[in-house]
Amino acid sequence: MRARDVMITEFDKISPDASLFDAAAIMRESRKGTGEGGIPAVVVLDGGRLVGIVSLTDMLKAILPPYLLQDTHLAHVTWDGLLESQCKRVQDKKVRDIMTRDVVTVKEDAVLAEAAEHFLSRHIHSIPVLRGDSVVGVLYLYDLAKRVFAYCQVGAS
Amino acid sequence: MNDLYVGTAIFLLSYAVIVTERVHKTVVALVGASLMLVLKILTQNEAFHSETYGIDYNVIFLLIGMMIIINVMKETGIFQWMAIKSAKVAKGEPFRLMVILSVVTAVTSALLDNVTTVLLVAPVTLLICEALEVDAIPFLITEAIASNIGGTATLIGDPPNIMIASKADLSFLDFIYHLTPVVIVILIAYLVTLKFIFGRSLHVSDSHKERIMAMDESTAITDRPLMVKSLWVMGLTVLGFVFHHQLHFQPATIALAGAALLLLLSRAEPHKILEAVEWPTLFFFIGLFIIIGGVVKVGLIKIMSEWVLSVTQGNMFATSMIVLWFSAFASAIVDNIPYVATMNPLVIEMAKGIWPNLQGTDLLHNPDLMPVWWSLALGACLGGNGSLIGASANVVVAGIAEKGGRPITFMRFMKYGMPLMIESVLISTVYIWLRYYAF
Repeated sequence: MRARDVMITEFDKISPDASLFDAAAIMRESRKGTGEGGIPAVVVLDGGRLVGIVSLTDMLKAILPPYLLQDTHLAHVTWDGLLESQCKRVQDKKVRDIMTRDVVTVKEDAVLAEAAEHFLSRHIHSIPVLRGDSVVGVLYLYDLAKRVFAYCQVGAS
Repeated sequence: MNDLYVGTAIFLLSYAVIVTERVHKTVVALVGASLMLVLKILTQNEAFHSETYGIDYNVIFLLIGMMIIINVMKETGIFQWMAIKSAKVAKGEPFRLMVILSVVTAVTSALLDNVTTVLLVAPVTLLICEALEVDAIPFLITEAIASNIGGTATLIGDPPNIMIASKADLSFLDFIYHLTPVVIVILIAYLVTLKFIFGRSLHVSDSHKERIMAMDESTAITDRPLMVKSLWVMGLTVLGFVFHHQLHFQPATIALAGAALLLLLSRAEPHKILEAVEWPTLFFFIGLFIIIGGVVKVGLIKIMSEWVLSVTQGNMFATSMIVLWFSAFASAIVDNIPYVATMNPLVIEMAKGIWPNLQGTDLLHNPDLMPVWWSLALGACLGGNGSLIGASANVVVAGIAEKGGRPITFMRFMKYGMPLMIESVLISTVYIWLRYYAF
């Protein structure tokens, strides 16, 4: 089985000039009604060219006050409503400000072990799948894990 | 003669590139030092082992020892505990909070290095200001300035003092006796000035103050046994500094012993703790010491000292005043570490010119020379407040503010920093005159 067999082709995309709020709206609707899950990620395309990816972690990192990331002792002394109030601070942020630029990708004929290694070593949950230079789908950790679990059942060949 | 030109060229070129910040200063210092060695201006033996021309290991190992102690200590959460406790003692009243945080920062900076202090205080300040919904920038700027003032007070508070203490063979208590009193006056004057600037402009609603009062500062402490151990070791180390002179130990011995003891007691992973030692800073010092050793050997520093003497005509009060004010403005513009590295041998050469028959501590501790050392320390440390780039603590605070989406501009810092620097140097001027010259 290869990346192309597990990837989803109806993936979410966004322009780098869109706002963080636009990305959030896409994520809210992501894979809704498909019965499928996973941690959403939006591929950032600039005129069809892959320039980045916005994952849920990127969103949280942009919203969470930076000092909490700088100083791990402070998370205990925050208050109810802090995270919610931060959304005002980031409303002007563009996708290009928060996206991960160094995108991990795989070719469509990559074997699943390659993708599994990327998921683990880079702590990511989704990988754009390429044919040549263009993105043809997104491989989710969720989908890959479902395939793996299928093999781990008793009686599976 | 040839060596004089080559050594001077390496020195000037290295300092010029350091000022432009186009190449990392550590790299520049190491390249300059290598040139001094490769071109045989200085032999390796002189660079490594000579007390006059070589690396000042007293400075290097004092810094290493303190960095190790701090690296263990900061994992405990004690600094965050102190900051939140301060906010609660201030009952969320913003100006009172600013004063308490400034004092806490100043006292901590007197014992620890300034950059580490602000690195620990700035993020929790942002959190507290967020809770109070008050602009964090005035708090961050006042903390950076307080840290530079506090660091001036002791031998271990700021790198210029460590360097001066080592070169001039001054003890921890010498600094307490000569610098701490004036720093306390400067700190009080600073707080009074803050009252005029911020006393009326900071307002916070009661509901936001409650957020502060609801915080449980004890949750910031993540490792209580380690905190107790590191406080004991820190206390012992400070005690060691107080008595190092009587016990005939150099300060670096005290710092290294403290670091070793804490590593032993804490069972901290040495790999992790030693990795966090700021090697780039230490190699910057190593490179600078070799570069300076080179220009001392070729006689450049002696020529510069003769020039200074021709200006001051050997008048020691004038020398102190020039050193104080020139150091302050020089340190506001350039890094005070290379500045003091150059000034130390210059002061010694100058003293040799005035008292050719004296040697050793008779020369270094000549009563007429002592005020010059204190002027150098006050000028170089306090000068850092003059601009955003004047001290590493300012740069670090600006970096944290920028990450938090609240950048501190060069001009905004200068608006507070420069007048406050001038105020502190004016107080130092009066102090030096009153204490060493008036009577």
